[in-house]
Amino acid sequence: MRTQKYSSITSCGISGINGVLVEVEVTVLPGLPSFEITGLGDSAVREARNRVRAAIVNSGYRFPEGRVIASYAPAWIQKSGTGFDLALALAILEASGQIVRPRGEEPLLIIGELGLNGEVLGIPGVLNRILTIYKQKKLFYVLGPLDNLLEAELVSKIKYFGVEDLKSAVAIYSGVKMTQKRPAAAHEETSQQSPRLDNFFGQEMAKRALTISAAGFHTLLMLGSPGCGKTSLASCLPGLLPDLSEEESLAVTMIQSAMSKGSIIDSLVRSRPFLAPHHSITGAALIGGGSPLRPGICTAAHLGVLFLDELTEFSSSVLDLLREPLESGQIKMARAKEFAVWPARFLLVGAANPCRCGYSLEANDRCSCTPNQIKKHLHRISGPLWDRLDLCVKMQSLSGDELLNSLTARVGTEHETTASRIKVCHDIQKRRSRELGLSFHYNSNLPVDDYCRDMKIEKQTIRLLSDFAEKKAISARSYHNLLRCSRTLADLEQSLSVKTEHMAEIMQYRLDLNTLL
Amino acid sequence: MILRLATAELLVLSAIEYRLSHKIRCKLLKYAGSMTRLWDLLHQRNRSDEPAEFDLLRLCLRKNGSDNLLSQANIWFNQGINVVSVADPNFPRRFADRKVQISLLFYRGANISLLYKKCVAIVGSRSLNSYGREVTAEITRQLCSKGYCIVSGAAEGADSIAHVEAIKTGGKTIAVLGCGVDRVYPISNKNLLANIAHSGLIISEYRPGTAPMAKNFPARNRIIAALAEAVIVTTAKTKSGSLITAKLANNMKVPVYAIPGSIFTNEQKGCHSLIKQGCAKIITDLKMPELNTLTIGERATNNDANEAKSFQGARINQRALVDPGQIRLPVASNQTEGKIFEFLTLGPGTMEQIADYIGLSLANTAQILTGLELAGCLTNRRGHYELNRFS
Ligand SMILES: [Zn+2]
Repeated sequence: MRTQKYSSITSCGISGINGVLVEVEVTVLPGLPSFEITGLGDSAVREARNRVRAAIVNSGYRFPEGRVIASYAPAWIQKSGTGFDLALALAILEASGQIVRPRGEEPLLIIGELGLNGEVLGIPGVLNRILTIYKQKKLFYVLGPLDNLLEAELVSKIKYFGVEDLKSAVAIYSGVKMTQKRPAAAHEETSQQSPRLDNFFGQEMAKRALTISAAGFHTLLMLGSPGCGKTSLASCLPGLLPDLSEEESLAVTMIQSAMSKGSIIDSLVRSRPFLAPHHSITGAALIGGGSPLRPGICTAAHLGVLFLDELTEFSSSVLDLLREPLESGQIKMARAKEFAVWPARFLLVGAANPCRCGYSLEANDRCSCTPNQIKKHLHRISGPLWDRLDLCVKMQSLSGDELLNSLTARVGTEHETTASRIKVCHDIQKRRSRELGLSFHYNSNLPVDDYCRDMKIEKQTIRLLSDFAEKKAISARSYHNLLRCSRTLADLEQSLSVKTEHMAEIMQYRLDLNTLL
Repeated sequence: MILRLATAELLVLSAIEYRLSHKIRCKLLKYAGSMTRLWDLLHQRNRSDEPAEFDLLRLCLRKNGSDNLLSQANIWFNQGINVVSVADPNFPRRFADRKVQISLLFYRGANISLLYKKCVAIVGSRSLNSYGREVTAEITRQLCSKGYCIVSGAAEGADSIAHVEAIKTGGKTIAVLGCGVDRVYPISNKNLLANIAHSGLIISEYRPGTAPMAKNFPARNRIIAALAEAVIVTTAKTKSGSLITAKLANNMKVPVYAIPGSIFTNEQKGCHSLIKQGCAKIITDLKMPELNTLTIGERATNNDANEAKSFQGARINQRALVDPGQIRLPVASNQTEGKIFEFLTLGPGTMEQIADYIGLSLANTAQILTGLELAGCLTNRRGHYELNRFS
């Protein structure tokens, strides 16, 4: 009677940002020596053959003779990455009778990449896998790379054993109890200190606009000549936004883990992401895509800031893609074989020169652009995006005196004061969402049936707005944006209702092409 | 052949214009005496006394294909395009008087007689502040009410305002283009050009279809200067195209006037330098009594009686005009607003500067500015607030 040359081990892959359970099956059949992997894998999966063979041999085991067939099930899911190596190696060893999992042991889930020398290497997306199995409540014991131990331990409910090499993985698999090694001391927290608002002299209008924008997640367009400080001011934003809550933090860490390129995650991400892609970015890189589907910059900026410098230089077909995440806070991707939904609720901040030469907002006569030229320049920002830019600030370069003033070091509490006001404003919005029976929404995306009732807008404010709308012939979208932005301003001032003064101030920050010509 | 004479002329001219220099064109036209005659002569061979240039012309015709030219000419004709040449007894004398080399003028529009009327050219910047807009519009209204025909270049900014106001006031206007008369440039002036074609005149020395090229525009300016009894520069920055028109007018001994503005802004710097250099006379009264001493249009036409009538029609409109003697500031309803007006009379300012001056927070300043903007006292332009006059 011949022994059964078959083994099946559970592993977990990544699809977008979520984990997918995958069954790695191996069988050894008689025949000429060969090694095949079946089941929709990318090149990294197919190359596993060489890595796994080398790792097995170099760890002192025997690679079975005969036809080795490995299958990843379910076969219809696109599988990618190197995370199945360890599971495949153990399955081969079991199928060839070199190791055996004793009966009665807990079900085990195995992830990790193998080096040629049998080392178990860290992989991206461990947190995502662990969270997935936690949510599915299926397996409770995970064997994975030692490098990912700290990341895995962020979810305390799941037992995780980190191993360094194939040999210790075999030992754990065979039921040997070992003490958990700890990885080398976690490297120092090198969170870059984002610049402080106090460091910037002047530009009071821009700071005000930035505060309103951060408080209600209203999209902002900064216009000004080159070097007037658009980029530096925008980079204050992550520091101004309140730290992520527990739940938000887990979501952001998961995204960063899935998208990390080799960097090790050892704690939850607390600070807001700040993404500033170059204007040559492609649509797939911005909102995600490719095959297999991978999330893009928009998802990486989830709950943080997406800063688009030189907004007029982006291709308008790329900018058009931002419409969906700006509307719904998520990105849906559908392909023939795959379907994905990724979160993408970010604060969009754009910066651009106000005209081709860049100096039209300056008081000097350096700019000789005509209204038509300026129109042409600004029309390069795609129409759908232009309509969705809630606030606009026009910045001038600092004068000589102001520049001189800005050289002296400034110590102030402006940064902290602003940050705490924004925090309070976020809390108010949280409360408002709760009162309306909704999950947390910002004023910019709160679903509203009746503005006057849900956002407590005074009758007189509406009258002022109607007057304004009539005189300036504004669109319906612009009308609603003004209501939402003024609600945020009232929240910042901790006013229960939206008064005319809030609306009147917000009107000065409205994006209006006519004022730019 | 069902060609009308005008079409034949167009055809010949386009061929001439295409290849030959101004000198040769004039010589041919002078010899023939008129366009029609030139066309006829072209088809009569072996005249012993004909100038050698005739062969050149025949060569041009052959090279471009007679039939092609004919069909092209027919299309132009159907678009309402016509032409007048230097050989034509009706060709405006002022070009020759002012030594402007021009042998052909393509035109589109009903009113060719405008070419002989007394005209005033209004030129200015393409980007205007509210002062520039108001002053250009106002001076146009005043001139129209005096019966002047307004000549300008149909560019964006001051030119467009001059044309629009002239049409609105019921006055006459000529647009001189730097491209073919069938082209629309800038594209934003599509409706305006249609209106001018309807009630005024569009002219150009370039063949229909010619694209607007930068080099054409200074040449276009010399036609504007040559047509006018006076050139008025309403706004000009230091490097403005209007200054070229002023220079050309100076050389032709056409009087040039310039409108002064605040010395705190850059918008009128070009005007100021014209005045300072003695190239232009300063305008201090928008009614322009100076113009009463100007010479009247060049020839007595039998249209004069009709025109006199239309002047009266224009005069009735005058009552609607604002008396330019009073340049009013908006009425300040409180001290703060008064201070804002006081600050902005010196020139436009940013919100931060205004807040600084009136000593209020940025938030309060923004609220007040919105109020003033809604009341029509202020305009926000390129990040700066400026006062609206005549509001
Ligand atoms: Zn410019």
